[in-house]
Amino acid sequence: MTTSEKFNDKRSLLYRCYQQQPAALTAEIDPSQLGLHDFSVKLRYGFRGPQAHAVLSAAQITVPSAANSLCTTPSGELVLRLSNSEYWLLHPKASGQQTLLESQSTEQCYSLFCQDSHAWLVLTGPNIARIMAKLCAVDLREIVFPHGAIAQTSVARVNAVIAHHCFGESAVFSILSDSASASYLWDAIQDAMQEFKD
Amino acid sequence: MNNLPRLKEPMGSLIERDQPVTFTFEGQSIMGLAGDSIASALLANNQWLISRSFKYHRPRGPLTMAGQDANTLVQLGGEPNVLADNQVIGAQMQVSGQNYSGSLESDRDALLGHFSRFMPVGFYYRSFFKPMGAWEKWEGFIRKKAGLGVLDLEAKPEYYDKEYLFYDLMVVGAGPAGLSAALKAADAGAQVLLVEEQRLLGGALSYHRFDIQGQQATSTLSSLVDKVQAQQNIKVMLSATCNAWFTDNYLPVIQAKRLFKVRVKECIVASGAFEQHVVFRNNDLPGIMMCSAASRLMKHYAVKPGQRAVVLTGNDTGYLTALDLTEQGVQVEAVVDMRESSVVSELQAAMSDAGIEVLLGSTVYEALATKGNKHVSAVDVRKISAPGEVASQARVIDCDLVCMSAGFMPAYQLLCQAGGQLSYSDDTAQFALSNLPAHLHLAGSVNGVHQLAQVIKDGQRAAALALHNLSLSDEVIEAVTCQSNHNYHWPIFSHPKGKDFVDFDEDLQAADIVNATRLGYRDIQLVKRFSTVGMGPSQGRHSALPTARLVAKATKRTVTQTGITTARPPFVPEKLALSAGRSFNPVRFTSMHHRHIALGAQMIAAGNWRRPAYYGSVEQREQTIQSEALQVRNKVGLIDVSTLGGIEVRGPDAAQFINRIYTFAFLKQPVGKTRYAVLTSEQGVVIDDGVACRIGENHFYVTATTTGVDQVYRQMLKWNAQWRLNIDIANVTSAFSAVNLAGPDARKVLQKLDSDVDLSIEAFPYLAYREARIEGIPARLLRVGFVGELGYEIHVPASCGEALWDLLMAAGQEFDIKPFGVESQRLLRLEKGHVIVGQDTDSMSHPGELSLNWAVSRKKPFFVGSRSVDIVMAQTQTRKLVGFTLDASIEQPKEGHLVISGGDVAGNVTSCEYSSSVGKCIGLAFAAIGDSQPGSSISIRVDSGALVEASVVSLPFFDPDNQRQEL
Repeated sequence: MTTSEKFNDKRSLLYRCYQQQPAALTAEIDPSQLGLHDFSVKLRYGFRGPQAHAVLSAAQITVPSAANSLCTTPSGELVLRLSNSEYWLLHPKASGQQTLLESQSTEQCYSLFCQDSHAWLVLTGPNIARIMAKLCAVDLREIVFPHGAIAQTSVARVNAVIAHHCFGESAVFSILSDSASASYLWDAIQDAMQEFKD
Repeated sequence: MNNLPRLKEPMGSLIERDQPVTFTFEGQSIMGLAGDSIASALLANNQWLISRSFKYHRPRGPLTMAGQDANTLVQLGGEPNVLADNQVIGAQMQVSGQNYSGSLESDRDALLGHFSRFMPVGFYYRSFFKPMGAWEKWEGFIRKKAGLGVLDLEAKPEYYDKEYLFYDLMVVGAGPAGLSAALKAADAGAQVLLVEEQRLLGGALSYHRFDIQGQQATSTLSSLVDKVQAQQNIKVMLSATCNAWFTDNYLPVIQAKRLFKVRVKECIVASGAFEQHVVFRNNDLPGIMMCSAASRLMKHYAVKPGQRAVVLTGNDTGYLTALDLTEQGVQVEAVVDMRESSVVSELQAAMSDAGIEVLLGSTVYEALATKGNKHVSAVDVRKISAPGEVASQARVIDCDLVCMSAGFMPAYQLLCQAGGQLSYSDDTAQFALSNLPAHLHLAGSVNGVHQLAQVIKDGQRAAALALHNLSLSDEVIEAVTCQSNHNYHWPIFSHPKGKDFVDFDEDLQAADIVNATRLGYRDIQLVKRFSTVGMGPSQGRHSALPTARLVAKATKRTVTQTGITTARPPFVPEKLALSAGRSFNPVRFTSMHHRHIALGAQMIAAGNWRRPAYYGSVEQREQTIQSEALQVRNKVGLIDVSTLGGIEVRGPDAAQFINRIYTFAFLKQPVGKTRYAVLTSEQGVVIDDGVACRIGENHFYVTATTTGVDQVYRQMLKWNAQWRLNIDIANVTSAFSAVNLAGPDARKVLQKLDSDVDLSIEAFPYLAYREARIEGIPARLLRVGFVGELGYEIHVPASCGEALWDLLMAAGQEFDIKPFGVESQRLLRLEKGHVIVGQDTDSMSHPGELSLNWAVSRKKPFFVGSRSVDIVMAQTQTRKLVGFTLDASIEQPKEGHLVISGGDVAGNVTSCEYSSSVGKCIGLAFAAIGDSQPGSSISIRVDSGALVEASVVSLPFFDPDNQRQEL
């Protein structure tokens, strides 16, 4: 019988998409180069509710001052504020050890299920805004969508959260989208990237 | 083909003289030069006949050399209706003419032209509908003759896509006005998109002669282009067409195989003006073209357009064209100026110096043709005696080229799409555009400004307006005035023998337009629809103005009163592939999807999900479904139910909320229990169902149907926006993967796995809810019985779904576990009489019709739709969903088949399958209330048209005491 340890490293719904592209999920990605990376197994939490802000503050987590913006903690975690009372914490360096049932809600601060409900893709390289312009109607040029900005919109007709942030020295887009549509979206973005690969 | 020598440089700005390109036209090899259009390469080979006209199959050659007319539509391989004057040649291209019977040179259908008087405007409306049945006889013939080009039905789709672009300012047209506007805006800091339909910057500067010396255009073009190319804030798109204007400057731009959806804050339309033709007999012969077309041929392609030319003009442009022609070795026999006077002395002197005769107050009344109307051979020139009338005395001038310019019509299409109003001065024959929306500006000749210096200034003026709106400048530039008048007031000279074409696309002659008005079509829009004028590929660029003039005269009104036909998108014909583009059709896969594929599942769509229908070959479909169902009844089966909707409701008011949303009572639902949940609309109609699990005092997990969950979620959000209950609602459908492990051996399979839940019937009874870890995977377990067997719905984080599937399949091996698909599940639940909302219900189905009264609480004061449910259920019911059986030997009804009662439609079949467990065909159907009792029979009309009699029976069909699910 398979032991439970095997499932500590949960599977991304996307893992088959990059079987032919082994570089996609390596830890040493170069964010200055064109690439689409699957961070779906990386740890993330979501909280929503009237007390969410207080709970995070009590945990010494600084949150953005306005909705649809993000900030980065000293340890490199991303804190996304998606509404006045909804926050997502993304850990680019940590794999998900916690499951949705383990991130328990507290009174008036309800855990969300973004670890499993959403895939986490990271689009890197110099043409990320142009690539997204083939998939999304929102103007994501840096001049109007600077670092720290978040857009909750439709990408290739799938709901998505797009977060503009730095990864090392480079600006990247984190795209959080319906996990069940993740392989579809992966293909759609790869297709949009194609003309920039040559 | 006779490849003629090209003109010397600087002629030929678009061609590469040292790069020959060979293609075929009508099967013959043609050699052009890289950069040539099909049309320019053909003319360079003295091939003037390019295609045939739509109605009379008249020979046609280039008219504008700018893709503005339908004369040069050709077949390019499998693609019809390619503009030969726009399409750049490529090696091995196979080009042919269109719309001929026999050969392009010898078209049998050209005889139609001789019968044109029997085919007046609108003749087909009036000729083929009587006597009764005549149309059926004519239709095949007319359809065969109609249409241009040949579609390649074997064509494979090519890759087209779309992209959004965002700029501060878009400038449409890169002529002198557009270039200067773009430069001024960019210099002030605006991000500018400059869109040009042609392949090079400059617009008229690239081909038109603006002064007698011929220096002004070259130096201005060089200066402006150098600056634009050096300006980092300008993005130039060449060979790109802005094909429409939509509200708030939403501008579709087509370039190659991509549709750009451009969003800009400000837009300047500097689209220029279309040169207009003169209406005279045989004005469509090859060799007769616009002055600008001749100039383009020489300047862009270094092609000498003829040997002996006559220039027919109503403005100074013709004189400048004559100078260009002369400089390139064309013998200009005469400049025929329709104006009586007003020619500036410098031009007169230039004509004199060049030895060109000028005939003032004259026109070409008729063009004479070579044999077969293949080319112009001479023109009949007469003095103009009155507007549209000529003297009887004729002078015939031999020529092989006629260049004409009756004036210029603003390229108003985008602006009128934006709501702009086009007005016409009957005194000056000039147009003006007004009433433009905010943030849309115009500049240059489209604004009625033609003199080069003024055009450039007008571009800067428009840029200043845009910059002001962008808060980048406060500069104000005064309106630019232009004294130049380019339009001759009546360039229409009808001929008693006709062929004086107003609309080249549709072969419409002057008399056709006049006759339309005599038939009562006085309104310009009605004339358009009756005559089809302006409805061809060129969309009235050349026909709109003469049509308006003719209608005005015929109805004794002014052009201002008649107006111009409406311009609608698209500006140029647009391939459907561009609109379709790269389509986005999201699909959702469960975490177990690849396991299903590996097991040979036939996948079907369920909303945007993909689900296994059954596991096996298509040929074995029926047997497979029966086998899978029996497997569940007799042993154990596993189905992926991840697509079920999942909604979390948490908070102090969670129970209150669920109690208000669903029909059943939930306030006292114990923690650890599940309860069937029916959702009705405000109209009392059942719109979804699911299971509500009470996880905690303030925590519910509710399932919903695969395709209904989004609606349920929206409804919940909407209602709580009003109720303001203290809860949080989260759609967690994608967060969970789920399976239903069902069958008599289900418990044994689950017990094989390491888990921390007591699976005994006492500890985990039917309808209970438990949380557990199964081999370390956190799971929610529901004991529910949709298929009517001992079963466990196991919901786990989506990232663990595939692992759970593997575990259960491995654990079930010794029990001969088999996966089963949606089709088998549908059969199994039908055996239990369980309805599927959406399949067994319709937009009128209330709980009473579905025998769901037991799921409606009458004790609570309110639930969504309760008032309506009370009302509709209190009314006399007319139908009811019943179960029926049929002997398997009888033709099986299908879903949708009608239930007939007393000759009327009483209802329809909603589900029907053969059940191996029951040994009969079983089904659900809406039946008349009088036929709804068990023991009754209902008549169902099946595919063959026969009425089959089915027995109404009690539900469920199988395991009537529901003992199996409670094992």
